[in-house]
Amino acid sequence: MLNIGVKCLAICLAMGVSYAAMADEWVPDKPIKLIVPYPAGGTSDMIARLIAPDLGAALGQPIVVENKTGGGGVSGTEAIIGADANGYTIGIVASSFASSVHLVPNLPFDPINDAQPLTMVTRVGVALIANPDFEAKTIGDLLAMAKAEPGTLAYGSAGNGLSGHFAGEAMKLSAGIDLIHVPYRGGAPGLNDVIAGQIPMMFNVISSVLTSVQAGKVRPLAVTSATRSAVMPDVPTLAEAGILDAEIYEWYGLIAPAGLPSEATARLHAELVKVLQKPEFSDRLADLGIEVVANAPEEFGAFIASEVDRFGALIKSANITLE
Amino acid sequence: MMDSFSNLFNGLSVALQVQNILYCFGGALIGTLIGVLPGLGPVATIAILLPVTFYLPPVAALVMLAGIYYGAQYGGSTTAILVNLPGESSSIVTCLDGYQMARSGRAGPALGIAALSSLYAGVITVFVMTIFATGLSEMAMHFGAAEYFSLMVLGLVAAVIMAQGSVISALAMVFLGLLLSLIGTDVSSGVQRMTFGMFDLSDGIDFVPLAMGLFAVAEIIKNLAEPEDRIVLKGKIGRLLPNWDDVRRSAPAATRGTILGSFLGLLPGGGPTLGSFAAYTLEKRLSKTPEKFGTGMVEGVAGPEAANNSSAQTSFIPLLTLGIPSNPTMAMMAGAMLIHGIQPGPDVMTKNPDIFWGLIASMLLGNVMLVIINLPLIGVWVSLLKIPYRLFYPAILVFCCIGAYSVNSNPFDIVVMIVFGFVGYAFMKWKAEPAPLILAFILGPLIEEYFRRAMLLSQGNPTTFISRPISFSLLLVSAALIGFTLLSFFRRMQRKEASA
Repeated sequence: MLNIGVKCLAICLAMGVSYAAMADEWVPDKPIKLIVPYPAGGTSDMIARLIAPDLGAALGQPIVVENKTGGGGVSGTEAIIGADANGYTIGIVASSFASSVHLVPNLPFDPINDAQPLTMVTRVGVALIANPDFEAKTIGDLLAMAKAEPGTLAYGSAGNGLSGHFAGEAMKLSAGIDLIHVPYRGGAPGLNDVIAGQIPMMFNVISSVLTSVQAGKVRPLAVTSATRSAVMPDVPTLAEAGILDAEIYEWYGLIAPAGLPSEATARLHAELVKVLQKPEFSDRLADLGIEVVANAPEEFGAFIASEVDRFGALIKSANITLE
Repeated sequence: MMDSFSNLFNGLSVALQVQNILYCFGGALIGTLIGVLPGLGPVATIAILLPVTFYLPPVAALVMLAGIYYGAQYGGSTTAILVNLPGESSSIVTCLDGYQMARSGRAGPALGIAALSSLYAGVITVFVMTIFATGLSEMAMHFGAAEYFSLMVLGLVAAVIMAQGSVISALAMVFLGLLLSLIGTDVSSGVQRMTFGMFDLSDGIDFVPLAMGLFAVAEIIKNLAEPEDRIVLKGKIGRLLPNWDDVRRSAPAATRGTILGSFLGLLPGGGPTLGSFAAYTLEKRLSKTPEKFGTGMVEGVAGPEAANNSSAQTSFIPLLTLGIPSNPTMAMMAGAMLIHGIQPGPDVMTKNPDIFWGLIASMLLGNVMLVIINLPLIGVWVSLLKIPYRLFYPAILVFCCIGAYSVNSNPFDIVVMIVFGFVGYAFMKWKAEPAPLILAFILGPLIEEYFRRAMLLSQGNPTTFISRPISFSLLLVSAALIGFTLLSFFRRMQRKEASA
């Protein structure tokens, strides 16, 4: 009799515990789609594919990475945001998620209200690099040169409306100088032109220029991060050179459609943070100068909102347009 | 120079990896298949397979696609000799003497000479490529925006001049290609052009569905519209090995074909078709008995077959070292490289030496494989010629749709492919060759980008294009080509008027 009573109690307790677990914890019961709005082989695709296996193992369901490209990332982002907010569709977005609202006419989504941020995955500063033979050897030299001959020096970037372009325009505004912006189709051809001396300098993300800097093929003049980069500790920040308000990062983050139940947000966030903080993930990126962030959904959301405002102001005053 | 050969040796170690051998074999096999079957050519086949290569490592992908290209040169001659139908446009001249040889009971030696001349040319050309590639690539390293602009202009001018058919329709195709390439976001200013507010168009029309539509879908429509007409030569093929007299006459012809072909392949606008025609003309001119050409002269098979294979291979050089595709197949290869994030140009050799040298070295293997595929297995290919075409088409079409969708997971691309399928069929009916269109589509955005970058860097001074010596010479050559074409055009007009 007692035996049965104990068993009953045990069953009741077990049920209670599992009930509690169900209330707290969202458990997916089918594969989760991770949409990448950019082509395979790019940074966002690489990050998504690095995270997917471990995140899938932690959640007990496979994560299917799907590249949905087009419209400079707009089509894929639209697909993330337009999906059902049930946790089975998440996606990766980049810096342009915040800036595109000011650049793309009739953008089919609102980065603040239509998305449930999960976490910022990584961020990396932008470096100003120059050909080693270029007369300006430091950021100070460059500012002096640019003031002496306004509108004659050119800088390259990986493309219009990307982090390198913003960094250049922010520096121009803050330092009161005039430079010619030469956009390239991606960072690599621009970097080649700097190495070959076809263009004196360029703004490009630290991770993309690191090997050329280490090989001495280009000279780093400054970085746009708030603090010096661990992989280039000798290179001053723009702020140190007196150029304020030019803190620019290229970042990647994970979002879900707005209206995601809070249990799903919490679970996805918790598992993501665990995956991102694994040393094999963070160390590998740290070697490239990329910082793993893994912040809270609220912090990421606040960051996106502040970036939308900041870029709005920058785009307006620097008169950057895609139209 | 020694460096190049040690690089080639390293390339061989890449090409000899089991996976790459398999893909090389697969490419050679598919190439032979489509070469044998008239209708689908290498351009259409590569277009269809482009989306598949997306899931392969870049070396394997390029090795396979290249195998298809030169494999088609082998397969094409089989059909030319046995059916008197060119399997490929590059084997048109092989029909002339090859089919006559077959009719006089020497089908076997004709096939043997065609395959062995191709092998001979293929192997020698690998070494020619090794020597040229390094030099060209080093030269291109010093190119700035102005030089690239002028080089691309030359490439485009050559595309018009070398095109088959009328200059007028080639020009029209070039402009249409340029217009289509303008759709999407402008790199220099970020402006949306001709997108009509559609987000699907803001990255422009994708190369893969465009090429699949123009080449593959259009080909299928054309083949379905025309009645099948193939008479496979009856009777035995006989022994494949040529006799001593054949070898004695073919060896010098194949050597000349190789030299001529590899040179013509390097030119923008060149390629196997041009190579084979030029080699045939050369052999006829050098022969002591030119009147016998067309009656089964073995030189008329050996020379062109060597030339089409060697120019197929050397046409990779301008793409891999300078970044300009010299013919539509190379435009497809450029597309395949771009899918993998590799920008064709001088960087390929320094940044992706495995790809560069692995690809070149794989051609050695591929040519040997092709001789084995083509000679002992000739019976298989002959029996394939008896399968009615309509059985292939539904499968190919479904495959095209899946392929077009899979690159971007965007159904819009299927629509693009189908629309351009009909457009391509219309072009065929108007006898307008779509090759210049596809070259302009690839080169157009580059020309614009380099032009505007050169102007930005020179602070708006257009003399930058003529004050830099390399750029100036390239523009001079383009101008000379245009002048020469116009001159011969007016002469022809005058002659016509005079005779009328």
